[in-house]
This record gives sequence, C-alpha cells and structure tokens, in this order.
Amino acid sequence: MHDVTANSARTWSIGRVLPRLMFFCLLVDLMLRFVPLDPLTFRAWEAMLRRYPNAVGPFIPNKHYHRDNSYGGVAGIGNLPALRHYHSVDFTTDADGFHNPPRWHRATPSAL
Amino acid sequence: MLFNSLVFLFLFLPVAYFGFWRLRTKKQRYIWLTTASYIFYGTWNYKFCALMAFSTAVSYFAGLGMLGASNPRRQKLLLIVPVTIDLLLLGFFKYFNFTVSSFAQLSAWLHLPVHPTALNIILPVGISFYTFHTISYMVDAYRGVITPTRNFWEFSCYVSLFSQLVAGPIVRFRQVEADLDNLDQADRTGWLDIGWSFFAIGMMKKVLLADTIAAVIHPAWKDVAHLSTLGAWLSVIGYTYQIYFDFSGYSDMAVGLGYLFGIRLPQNFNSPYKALNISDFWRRWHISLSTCLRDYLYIPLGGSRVSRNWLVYRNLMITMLLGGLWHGANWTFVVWGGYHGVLLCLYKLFGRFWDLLPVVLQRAGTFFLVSLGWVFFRSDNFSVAAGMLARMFRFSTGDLFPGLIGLLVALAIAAAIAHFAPNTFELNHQWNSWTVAGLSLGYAAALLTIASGQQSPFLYFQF
Repeated sequence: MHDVTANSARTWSIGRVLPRLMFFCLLVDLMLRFVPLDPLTFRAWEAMLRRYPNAVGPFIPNKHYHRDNSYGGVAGIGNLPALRHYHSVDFTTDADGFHNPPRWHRATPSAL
Repeated sequence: MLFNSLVFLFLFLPVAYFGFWRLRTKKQRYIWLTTASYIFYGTWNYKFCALMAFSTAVSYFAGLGMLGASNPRRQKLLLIVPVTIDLLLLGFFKYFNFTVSSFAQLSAWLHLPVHPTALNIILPVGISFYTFHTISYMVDAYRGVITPTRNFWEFSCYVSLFSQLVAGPIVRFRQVEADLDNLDQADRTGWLDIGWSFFAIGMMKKVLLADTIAAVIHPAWKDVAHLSTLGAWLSVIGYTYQIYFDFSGYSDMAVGLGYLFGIRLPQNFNSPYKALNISDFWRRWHISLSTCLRDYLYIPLGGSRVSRNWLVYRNLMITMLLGGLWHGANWTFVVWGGYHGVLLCLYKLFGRFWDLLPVVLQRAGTFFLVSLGWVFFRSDNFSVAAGMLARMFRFSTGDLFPGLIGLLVALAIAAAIAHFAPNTFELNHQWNSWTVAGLSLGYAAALLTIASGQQSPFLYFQF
C-alpha cells in the first residue's frame, strides 16, 4: 500500500482542483437545464432532442414545439444564409417521445 | 449506483465525504460510513441489504465467540458454521440455477431426462466480494492472524465499505484494521491529493479507454459469425485491454475513495500485461483474489509442499477451476480457470525452458496466452467461443466493424500504457501544475462523457 502523505496546500494541487472542477461541472449542468436550445439549433427536432443526436427519436415526450424560422439542413451545414428557406414548423411528440400528433397513441391503429 | 454516474459524483460522494469529516469520533464515523454504504448498496436493490446485514451479523458474532473460546473444538465449530452459512448463501444466489440447468443437461445427455425447476433468483451485486471479506475474517480469526473486533460498527464498516463493496479489491481485515482503528485520527488533507489522483486516473481508464474500446468491439462480439480474421483478433485484443482498464480503473477509483475517507486499500493490479510468464501474471492480476485463493484454498490443499509431485498439479487445477467458477455461474468461466490451471502446470513443468527465452518473447508469449484465455471469459457460451477461435485461426475475409480507426487509436494508447507506463501504485502522485492541468482536462472529458448519458457498468459488477 502507498504511504505517501501528499501536501495539498498548493493552490494547483490535484486534491484542490478536481473537487472544484466537479462543482463547476455540476453548476454548468444545472444551469444548462434551464437554457433553451433554440439559439443552437436550426431544425425543429434538434431542439427536442432528449439525449443522443438522431432525427428519428425518441425526443422529449408530450411536447409541442413551434418555430417560425426553421430552415433546411444543407443551408445549415454549409453555413449559407442566403440559401435558407425559412418556414414554420409544428413539432409534437407522443407519450413515448416520437414525432406524432398529440392524441395519436390513443387512436386505434388501422394497421401494424 | 455506479462510480461513473452523476448521482454518485454530484450527490452521494459530496454528502458522504462532508458528512464523514464533520464527525469526530470513531463510532460516529463507522456508523456514517456503514449507513452510506448501505444506501449505496440499496440503490441496486434494497432487499439485498438484509442479506449483507445477516452475513455481517453471523461473522461478527462468530468472531466474538472465537474471542471467548479456548476449546479448539468450539473454535472449529465457530469457524465451520458461519463459513458454511456464507457459502450456502453464495451457492444459492449464484449457483443454484446453474447447478439445476447443468444437472438437466447432464441427465438429457445420459438419456435420462429430468426437468428440475429453476428459480427466479436475482444475483445480489457484489455477493462474491463481501462473502470473501467475511470468510477471510473468520479464517484469519481462527488462525490467530487477527484479533476479532468487539466493535460491531467497525466490522460492519469493514464488510460494507462502499468503495470496495461491489467489485473489490477483496480487502482482508488485517489490511485495513490499523486505519479503521485510527479512523478518528485520520487527517482530511493528508491523503487528499493521492486520493483524487487515484480516483481521476481510474475514472479516465474506465470512461475514456475501456468504454471507448467496448463501444466498438461489443457489437462485434455479438455477431462473431460475420467477423473477418483481422476483426476477430481486434475484438479479442480489444477485450484484453478493455477488461484490464475497466477493472483496474475500478480498483484505482476504489483505492482513491479509500484514501479520501482515511482508509488505505491494497493494490489489485501490478501491470499484469508486463508479466514474463503465467505464474508472474497471476502475481500481478487481481492480486487480492489470487492471494485469497492462495491463502485460503491452495495452501490448505497442501500447496506445493506435498509428498507427491502430482498433488501440486492437482492443487493448482482445483484452485484455478474454483477461481474460474467464482467469477460466474457459467461453464465458460470454469474452462477459463481450467485453461489457466493447465498453463500454470505447464509452466511448473517446463518453466526452466520458457525462462531461457528473450524477455520480449516471454512478455509477448504471456500476453498472447492470456488474450486467448479471455475468449472463454468473454463468451456467453461455447459456441461463441468456438466461433471466435475459428475466426481467429482460420483465415476469412469478412466484415470489419465501424469505428475501426477510433479502436486502433484507443488500442495504441491502451497498449502503450499497459506495456510501458508505470502503474498507479508506481506513481508518486505529487504532480506539478502542468500535470494537474492535464489530469483535470482528462477528468473533465470523462465527466462530459458521463453527462452525455454514456455510462456503462463495470465488468466485474456481475461477479
């Protein structure tokens, strides 16, 4: 077993830096939960992401999201503002987090 | 609750830590650590806390009984009864269904089919580890190696200590007795740096290396039939490094947490992939288990001090087969243990020739043999193991998996660390500002990975 008694009095010792780093990360994590994703996204589904980036879902469940200035992926990826075609988007998710009309899950499916 | 989870890092650890250091007396700290550990354990399934409490109580009272027992027969009884109870609990929860299914398979093979009923048993997390703690305590007390403690909370704290509760290292009472006895004298800042250093390095090993490798090779292991020869070798080599960085990362985190609470835990890995032979490998891999197997199984069987040569090989094989079975209720683990038993016997027979090889060849050969063994350890059943071995040794062009470049980079870093870098116990953990900055960056990257939801359990939790 190690028998090192390290001196953690230095400001830049690992025993001082890492707990502060964790506290900072905790604060950032908590704050980011209240920050809207709108400014960082250009497609409606990106703002509805729950965890992993994918266009299929699941997204945040039971949400209705409206955006007047969505635009397409190519113009966004290429950063070509002149080519953007702004349009209005309504994005609604069901209880499972998938892109469906609000009462979709209660309706009887006509086919599976 | 995993060490690499937000709830542990941002809630459990700060509360447990600051609560612990606000308390002053030994008893308060024992009770605090025990309570925290039971909460930690209860997050998996609170019902299993009762099982651990029962096992703890049985061993504690057996230890107390040994203190007052002068009659050797009574002492032996106080050893046998609690050890039997512990083994029965372990046997029931871990091996009952395995025994039943093996019996059914055997009877079918003999054309005498019987259909015994399997039970719906959930394996309590960490039962193999805390059972070893209690058994080693009673055996050491019986042998007079330790004096059983009269303090129930001290013993309870030893058995349930959350840092090593669910995946080791397997700590013997004598290894932590001095620190537990002096828990009220512990200095919060004395081991702060070394504790965080161990914890951060362990976290990076697990989250940045082991999990990165696992993300690529896991799908490959699920679909062995479509692997190319190169893909098969990469999957096996990948798993070889994954299990090392996963388990040694966990052990480093456990040691670091121990330091943060004033308790020094023993070394569990000593650069095992630098081993020169298979015997050397077992002195470096999962040291706390291999020394337990040596002291509580191999030596009582007679060890190598026996009248006939073949008894040494028998003892080795029994120890390794049971060691394999300890890892899990599956015949693949038994075969893995048997494979290492055979290698140890062969080394005992022909080691003098092996030792004549250049050091580089000895290291590479040992690494190769150990990697082959992991095929059985990783496989869910023998058809997967056979499929993987067939893919490795019969040339075939098949799929290479996605994420190959990332895997190669991760393997290169893992290999450099595993084969050439000093291990965490060889470092002095007195870092200059630049190294602290580097470690902090790595730790932050690990935290970001965890925060993105990519948490995976440690491989040894299942044992």
